[in-house]
Amino acid sequence: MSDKDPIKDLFRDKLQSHEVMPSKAVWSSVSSSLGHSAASAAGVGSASFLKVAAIAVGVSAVGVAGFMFLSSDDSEPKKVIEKTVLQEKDLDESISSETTDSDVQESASPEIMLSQSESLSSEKVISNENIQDPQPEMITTNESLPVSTPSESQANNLIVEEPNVDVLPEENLVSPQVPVNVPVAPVVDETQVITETSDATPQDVSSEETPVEVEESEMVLDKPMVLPNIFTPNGDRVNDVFEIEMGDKLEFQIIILNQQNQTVFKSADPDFKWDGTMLNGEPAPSGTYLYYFSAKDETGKDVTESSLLTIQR
Amino acid sequence: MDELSLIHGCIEGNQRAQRKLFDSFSPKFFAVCLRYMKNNDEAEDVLQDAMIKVFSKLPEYSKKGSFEGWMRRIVVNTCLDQIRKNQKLKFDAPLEQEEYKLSTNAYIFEKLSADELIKEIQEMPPGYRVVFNMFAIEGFSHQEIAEHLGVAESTSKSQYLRARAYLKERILKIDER
Repeated sequence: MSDKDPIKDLFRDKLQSHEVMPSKAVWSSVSSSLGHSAASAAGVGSASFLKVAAIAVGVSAVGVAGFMFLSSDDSEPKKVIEKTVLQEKDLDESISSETTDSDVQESASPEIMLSQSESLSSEKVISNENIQDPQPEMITTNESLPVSTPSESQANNLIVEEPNVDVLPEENLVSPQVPVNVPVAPVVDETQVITETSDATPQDVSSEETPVEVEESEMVLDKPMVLPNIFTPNGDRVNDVFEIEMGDKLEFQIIILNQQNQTVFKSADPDFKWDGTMLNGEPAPSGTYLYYFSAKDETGKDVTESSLLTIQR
Repeated sequence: MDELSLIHGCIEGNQRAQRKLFDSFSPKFFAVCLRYMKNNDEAEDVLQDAMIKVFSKLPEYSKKGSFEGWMRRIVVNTCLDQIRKNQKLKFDAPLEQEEYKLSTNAYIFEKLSADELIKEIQEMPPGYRVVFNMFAIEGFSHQEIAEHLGVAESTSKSQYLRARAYLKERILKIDER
């Protein structure tokens, strides 16, 4: 595996120590599942919500019952009434249990606060707010405190980490500038391809048999051929030309065809760079093309390759 | 409060210690969850499960090795569990190696924010997403990933290469906008 992996570097640098504040609700649920009254925010809030909801349900139940009573003269009205009464009882019970719970919570939390002499101000404020009617603005300002000002000790960890995020992107500048045209796996593929071709013409390759193969594969590994299959000649200076990178070649020939088998480009220059202009001078439209090339390297070995080539403008 | 006494406080059920541990680490771990899950809601759900697991497993923490690393593993595993639950991880059958030559210019990278990168990760198919996260960011080896996910090592490799090619293309598209 090659170490050159700018995508990996990019994502790792920017995301490894990246931090995102989760919403308040997460702590509330975690805390309540830890068996704390905590989440005192959610606890009390939802209790009062339940009350309202219960009352609303009760009222509507009575309304519905009344309606049913009026509309269904013949069908046993008594049962309906009994049912609603029962429902209301249930609701009352649930309300009272909710309220006692939250009462306990409310009375418990100040004690905890007192026993912890340092008492985090933010926590205190939050729980106080919940006992009274909370003003949402205040909650948010308090929550953002740990991030913006290092006043609390608990904020230290966050603050220490943050510079990473700022520093790393600058390092990005350095690493990706190294040309990145050498994907990892293809190197292996090409060695295979080339050794195959060399097997096909063993006589051409002079005397020694086994050492040559080793040398060849080493050479290929040193300077792997890069056969692009896409380029974007749109003038943004990124990947605007098509070229083939490889070691020194003696004879070279490339031809690029469009899907109608018409030649759109050909060259005998190993250092050619095609900007996507067709032989007739018009820019080649986006689409899929096909290229063939053949070359002879220093040892006289023939290399022929073909690949699809996508132009995306 | 140092790390050990913080851990102790949490084990004893000291709410303040628990809150502090949560506040210190949840932003980091939320970022992890965001990378593995496909949106904020799922990420928050998983973060919640993971933090509850962290607290309940604290007594098992051996106090050797990085505490954050220990917690992070729990978080990643919780993400993986959830993804497995959501759907069977589908890995594309490895095709012939595609070779992309999309040059990657520094200036494109420079202007990409972490949030944009997370968004790109989230939009990948789950198979790509998991392997890319584990290999590129968490730094697992392909062998470890293969063991974790119960797939062949070659699958992990090919998924990673495809994810990388995918992201490369996406990044260039961002640049064209």
